Amino acid sequence: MGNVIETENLIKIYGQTPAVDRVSLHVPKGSIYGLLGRNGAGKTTTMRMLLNLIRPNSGTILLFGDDHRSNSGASYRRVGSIIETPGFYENLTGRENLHLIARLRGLHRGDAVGRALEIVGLEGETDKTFSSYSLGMKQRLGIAAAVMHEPELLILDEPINGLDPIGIHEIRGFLLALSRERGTTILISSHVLSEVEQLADIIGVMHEGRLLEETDLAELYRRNRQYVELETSDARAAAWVLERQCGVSDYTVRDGRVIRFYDRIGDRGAINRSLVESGMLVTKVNVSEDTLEDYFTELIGGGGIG
Amino acid sequence: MVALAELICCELLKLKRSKVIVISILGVLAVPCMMLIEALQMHFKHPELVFTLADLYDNSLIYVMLLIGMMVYTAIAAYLFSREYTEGTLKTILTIPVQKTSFVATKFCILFLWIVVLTAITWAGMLALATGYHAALGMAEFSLRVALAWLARMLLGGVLAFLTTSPLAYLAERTKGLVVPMIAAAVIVMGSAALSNQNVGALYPWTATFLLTKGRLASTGYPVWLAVSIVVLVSALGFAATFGHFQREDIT
Repeated sequence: MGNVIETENLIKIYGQTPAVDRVSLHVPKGSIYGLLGRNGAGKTTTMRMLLNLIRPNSGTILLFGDDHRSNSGASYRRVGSIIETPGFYENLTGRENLHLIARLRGLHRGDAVGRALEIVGLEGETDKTFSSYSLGMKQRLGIAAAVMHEPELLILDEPINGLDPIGIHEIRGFLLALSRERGTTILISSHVLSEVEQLADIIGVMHEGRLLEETDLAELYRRNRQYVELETSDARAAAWVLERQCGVSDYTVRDGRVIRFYDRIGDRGAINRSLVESGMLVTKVNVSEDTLEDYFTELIGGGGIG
Repeated sequence: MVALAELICCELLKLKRSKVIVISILGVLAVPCMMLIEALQMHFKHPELVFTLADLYDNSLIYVMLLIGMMVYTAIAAYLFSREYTEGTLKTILTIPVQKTSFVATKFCILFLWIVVLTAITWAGMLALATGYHAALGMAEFSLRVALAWLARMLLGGVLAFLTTSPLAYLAERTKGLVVPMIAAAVIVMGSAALSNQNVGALYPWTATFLLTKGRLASTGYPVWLAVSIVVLVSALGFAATFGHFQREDIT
């Protein structure tokens, strides 16, 4: 399965600050790729570079295998996109805006605009100009414009912003159907982990301009391990006992009192006894599992994704 | 890539329900109204004076080209170029994809058309009010032939005004708003007002176009080629800066 999007050491620097720093993305054909990161992580800048709105300082971008520098625009016709809040002409209605975009795309199928409006539930809003749309309606129109020409690749930057829970559910279902039924490749960014988790096959985590991890979501679930968390009177002394007396090699000291160990979980009773016999007070023993949020929080060095 | 004709059609569609169209028409129609008021004042002050239609058109040129026209054309240019930034539509249009050079060229085409149409409206407004004046108070040498000759001359003025609006279009694109180009236009208008009666006005591009249209450039003592060269240079710099900046600019 080839990559629809492939970047190599993509760099964008504003002033002295790298907004995107050596990012190498790989989005396989037919997949839903969730680009995750906090606000300001570099997701939007990366997407703008992919769409040729921003020129990278260095690095390469391959869209459908074509280098962006020699791309005459043919590849971009196969792409639909939303970047942040969708931009439309405020004096025109939603239908007129889509009609304008359809004309520019050379889309002459008479029902294309009507079908796109139906998909996002805006078919009834015939007289309202874009300026009087709510944020949710604007976002829906953005999605309609992005999918109207049945693109092979969708690049969606925070597409659920401003949507109500029912709208989010509908759009999520629609994107999943596009991917599963038509094989549309989707690159979707979000700072909300739970949203990406429900959609994506692959997750890329960006932080401070860098792509820290690019991994299969299923693989990530496999990697999330069970652990035992102990609260003791002295975590450092407990670590010594775990390592020397109990043969535990995979552990982390969380703070002065808490320690987690990931191997020999079945021996936790004996380990507890060893700690007590070594004169330590054990006040809590928990068997837990890392959540994805824990994993990403750890990956970006604390603070949480969203 | 999208054909220029298709882009122009879409650009016209973008203007649907646009209040700027009505405002710009009202703006340029101020010229015929002012000329009528001026003519009536003169008539009641000096009833012995007889106006010709050509006098009326000739006197209107300073308003059409240097004062009201300049402000209105700058407002239109600023609106056309800055709205794509303020409404956040560039990311929608350019990813279609539309070529950046075609996009800017379309904007200039629409600006040109708009200026030509407004010039024609001004001319027609002048003719309508002059007809009323002629019917009520009488006017010498009132004929359609004279009016048509002035239409041609005013359209030439419109084309020259379009050329000298390009630096203001660049300012609108660069600053992504109306404020800076409008302030620049006000400064230009003040300069024009100061220089319109002086010979050195031939070297000031915005007055030179007025003097060219009025047929007074040769009498300033400066060679016509020099004045035309300055107009062409300023215009070319404005176009080059607008195209160049948009080509290089990141759409953020």
